[in-house]
Amino acid sequence: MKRRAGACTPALLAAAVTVAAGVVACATGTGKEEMQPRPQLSAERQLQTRRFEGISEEKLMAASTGVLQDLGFTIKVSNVDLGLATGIKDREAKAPDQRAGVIVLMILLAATTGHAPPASAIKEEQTVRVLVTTRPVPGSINAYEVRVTFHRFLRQPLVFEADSLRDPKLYEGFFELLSKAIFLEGHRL
Amino acid sequence: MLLRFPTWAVLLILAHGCATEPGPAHLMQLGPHAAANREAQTRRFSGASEAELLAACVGVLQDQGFRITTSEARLGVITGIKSRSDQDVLADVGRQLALASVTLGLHPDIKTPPPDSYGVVLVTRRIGSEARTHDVRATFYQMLLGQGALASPSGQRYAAVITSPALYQQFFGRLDAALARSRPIN
Amino acid sequence: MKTGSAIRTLAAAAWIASLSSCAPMPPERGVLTSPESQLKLRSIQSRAYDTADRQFVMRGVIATLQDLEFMIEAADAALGTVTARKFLLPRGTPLGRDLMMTVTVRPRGETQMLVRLNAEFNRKAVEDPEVYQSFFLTLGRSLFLSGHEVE
Repeated sequence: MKRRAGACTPALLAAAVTVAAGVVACATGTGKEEMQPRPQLSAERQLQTRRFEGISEEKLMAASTGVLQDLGFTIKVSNVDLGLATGIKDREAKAPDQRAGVIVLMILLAATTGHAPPASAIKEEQTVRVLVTTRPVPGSINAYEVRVTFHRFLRQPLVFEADSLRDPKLYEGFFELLSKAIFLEGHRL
Repeated sequence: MLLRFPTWAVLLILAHGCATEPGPAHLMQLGPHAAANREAQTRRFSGASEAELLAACVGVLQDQGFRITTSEARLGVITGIKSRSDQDVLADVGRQLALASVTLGLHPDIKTPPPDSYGVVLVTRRIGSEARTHDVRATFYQMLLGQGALASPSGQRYAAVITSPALYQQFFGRLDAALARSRPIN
Repeated sequence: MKTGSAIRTLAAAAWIASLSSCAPMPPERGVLTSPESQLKLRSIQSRAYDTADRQFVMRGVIATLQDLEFMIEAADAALGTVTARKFLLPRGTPLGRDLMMTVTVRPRGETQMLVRLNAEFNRKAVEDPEVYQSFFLTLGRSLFLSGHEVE
């Protein structure tokens, strides 16, 4: 009996779609965990925040966005009324542990697609996003808290890792630059 | 044994692939249904300030699950996006596969991958010198942004205006109801 | 042979039946939620705070989002909206966690501000009240105010 080639293919494809739908359904949570603050929030907030006095909020925001631009960030959102600015910066990842991630990615790609692009074709690109906020210190005049948070997305050709950056040196470095910028701003002729 | 395609079907498929892309000039021209679309997408509201109207619009969009992606209150502009769940997108893929299997891949509905998001652009415009009379125009889109479980490796994207009159009638009905709710009870 | 022919007939019937599901969903069903679920969601997504200072509440919202490690994508002081996103893809896991939301702050009467947030987790609208309760708890701590549920 002759079999018509392709007669089974639509059924197989339909089965594949059903399985994929099932996998996608299993992969969901409700967002509860993501809406909980971390236990280390208090300590991290201290690391991410500095108080500045004797300067208007507008000048503080201007100095903060200036530092971000100096660091190579593109400012995406800037709102003086609400005291916030966000920025984004792309750079290549070069650290050994990040390279290891790219190798795993290549193995995964080969397993799922039957081929993997050569290592030289995969760029270890990293996107860093930053959020700077200012908030008046209750009960004080011309005193504000500046808080900065950094997030990283390691990508290409798929997003492999996305997380907050928590290295204290990052935050100390930012506030050192901000303090210098405010000092220079205050002493401009 | 290979499926036997009639020659005319093969030529039809090849001819479609060989058709050249029109230049971008046509994108700057009004389509034949532009006036009708504008009418369907616009309603006039009286008795509310622009701020109240915009706030009500945001509330209605939030009700439908949209997140506000840009807004400029001074200009009366709001844009929003709402994701379609991966399950809904996969259901569309299943439908397209069934269509493809029956029509040998020739049905026009299977040429475009299913959308993964809905978008909206909403604009308010004051009418004449009346501070409390405004036109609201809402345009909804089906969009493929290339996100979610079915992100296309080719990075294909599109945004197509939704022209269903029922959608806009229902949306403005809900906006009417939201404005009525926000008015103080006398 | 009879079994083979019966199976082919059933398969053909299934394909024909599947054609009825080939019609795409009307767009209004995808874009608009049902009025009933709208009402239910609005209630769990909203809290009223006893202050008339809109900017104070908005800054509290922003501080809360920063506490929860969100990135702000858009903010409009005049309209009282903030849109934010939190995307996590921990090392070694194949699937990311993507939580997106818009928060609005509007006056409610003369003495209160109404905060409402609608969230989407991994591309699906969040309907779990606990998710919203967590946010409002953290917001309340930031504002030093308790939020009241609204009908």
